[in-house]
Amino acid sequence: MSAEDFDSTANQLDSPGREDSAFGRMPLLIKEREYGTASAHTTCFAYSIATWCFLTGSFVAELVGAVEGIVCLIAGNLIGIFITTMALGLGCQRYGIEQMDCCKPAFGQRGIKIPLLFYLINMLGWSGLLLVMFGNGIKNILGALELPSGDWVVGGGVALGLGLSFLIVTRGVHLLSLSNSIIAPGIGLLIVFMFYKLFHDFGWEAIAAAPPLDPGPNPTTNYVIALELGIASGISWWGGVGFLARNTRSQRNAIYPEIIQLGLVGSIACCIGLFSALVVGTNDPTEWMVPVGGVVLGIIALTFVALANVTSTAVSLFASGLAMRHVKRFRATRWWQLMLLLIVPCIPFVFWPHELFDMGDAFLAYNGTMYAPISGILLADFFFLRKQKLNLRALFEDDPSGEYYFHRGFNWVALGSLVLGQIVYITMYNPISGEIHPLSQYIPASVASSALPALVYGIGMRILGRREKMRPQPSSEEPSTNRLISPNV
Amino acid sequence: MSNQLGTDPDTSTEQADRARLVADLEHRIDQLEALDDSDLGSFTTLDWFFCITGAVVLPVIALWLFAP
Repeated sequence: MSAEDFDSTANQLDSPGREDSAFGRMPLLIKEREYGTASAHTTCFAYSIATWCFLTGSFVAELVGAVEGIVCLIAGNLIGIFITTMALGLGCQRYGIEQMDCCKPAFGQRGIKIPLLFYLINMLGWSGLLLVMFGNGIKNILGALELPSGDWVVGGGVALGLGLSFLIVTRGVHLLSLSNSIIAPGIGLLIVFMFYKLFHDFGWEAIAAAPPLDPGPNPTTNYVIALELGIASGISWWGGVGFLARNTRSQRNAIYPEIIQLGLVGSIACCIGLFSALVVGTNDPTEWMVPVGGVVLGIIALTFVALANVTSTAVSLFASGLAMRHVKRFRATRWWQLMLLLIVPCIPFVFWPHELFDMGDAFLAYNGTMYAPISGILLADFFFLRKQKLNLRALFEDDPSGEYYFHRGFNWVALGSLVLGQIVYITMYNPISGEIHPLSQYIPASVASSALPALVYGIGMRILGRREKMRPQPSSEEPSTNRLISPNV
Repeated sequence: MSNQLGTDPDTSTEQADRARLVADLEHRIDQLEALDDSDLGSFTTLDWFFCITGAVVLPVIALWLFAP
């Protein structure tokens, strides 16, 4: 995210409902888009190496060793990002729209509130986990300095992190762009440093021989769940794919940087979390910085990661706030009130940080439950039903006569398929209990819960005679003379 | 009431802002609808081949090879 983006948006945040900048919902013209090939790769690279990579890697370390972990993380991330990116990336890029608008042709004008809810759960859940990491970081810094550090420090750290994030997104959004320009390269350096220290101090043999932290009795089950976490990690990028793609000038730049950087490079960064957790023996990334890096470098790294977690949380809150503008009720809400509202769901992390952090792997997998069916439905809708042609005007039309209004604003075929996908996922892999269905050994839960809803949605839309709603947009030879009746901006 | 709203400077400004926003949106829609696919760079069959091979086929082979 560039400084200009944040500043232009920040200037408009005090004017509620007017965030019609690059971060708002206005479709971006080609000349307004920032990313060419190099900048698309750079931006995706900066996104891909965030601190949650350490968390993802450490979750996988609970189940499998280094070699299997590498395979599950890299393969899983690539498969997950492929499922997520293709329809959203090409759709958002073609029309310069963000992902919630890109969901409207499938889910309907009001039906997109369901993906929006998932988006908020994803953003705020990750924020909570990162803030616990921030609190753990403070506790471990105090511990390394031999200062008193009880468990209350973690909860206090979460509260402090929430307060700092709130201040950043309400008072100094320009500070966020400034800190991001330092944090992203810094995290990159930290990853290189950690790779060096791990291989120098422990060696590949020790890393490869290290046992998983808390494996189940069945190695195949562990492998399947680790793969599921890898795929869920890739699918978790759903929330960022649209923003990145809509800012690119060519279709290739909407796809390749996301697969290469978010999928491949991001999963390599996750491997740092995997290796470190295996050799140090803990799934808390802030606990292995001092043992791996030494006291001084470890404290510097911890401080850096702690700051990165706060800025990541601020970015999540910021993105969530903009997403909330899709809901009519919140279009006129003051920005600071909206931010306060978004902080409320994170408050339990202040009181039960350890309990909620321990559910992090289940939360990561649950991202697959949320986004895999949506991604499948979008793939079927965008490629097979609409042949990559959307009616741009209808995306912004709230009038019931609009093409994407469906039945009272909801497309029940899509919503039914979404529920089916969630049932399929939970049946094949229950993230809470950790139980898997025997079929999961042959097809991952995320893939099944993406493919089956796609099939049901495609067939359902055909049967229910929605073909008249699938008209391609008017060609350039026949410019539309229609005007919006009830624009939803 | 409607007269009061009509003469309220804040409301007038909001209405004017809204009208500008909608006009801008209409302008953008017209411009983007007029674009040809070739203006956006192409995503060819070869691109699909690379993406499916790199992000699906090779990962599946690796998963199969390293499965316990």
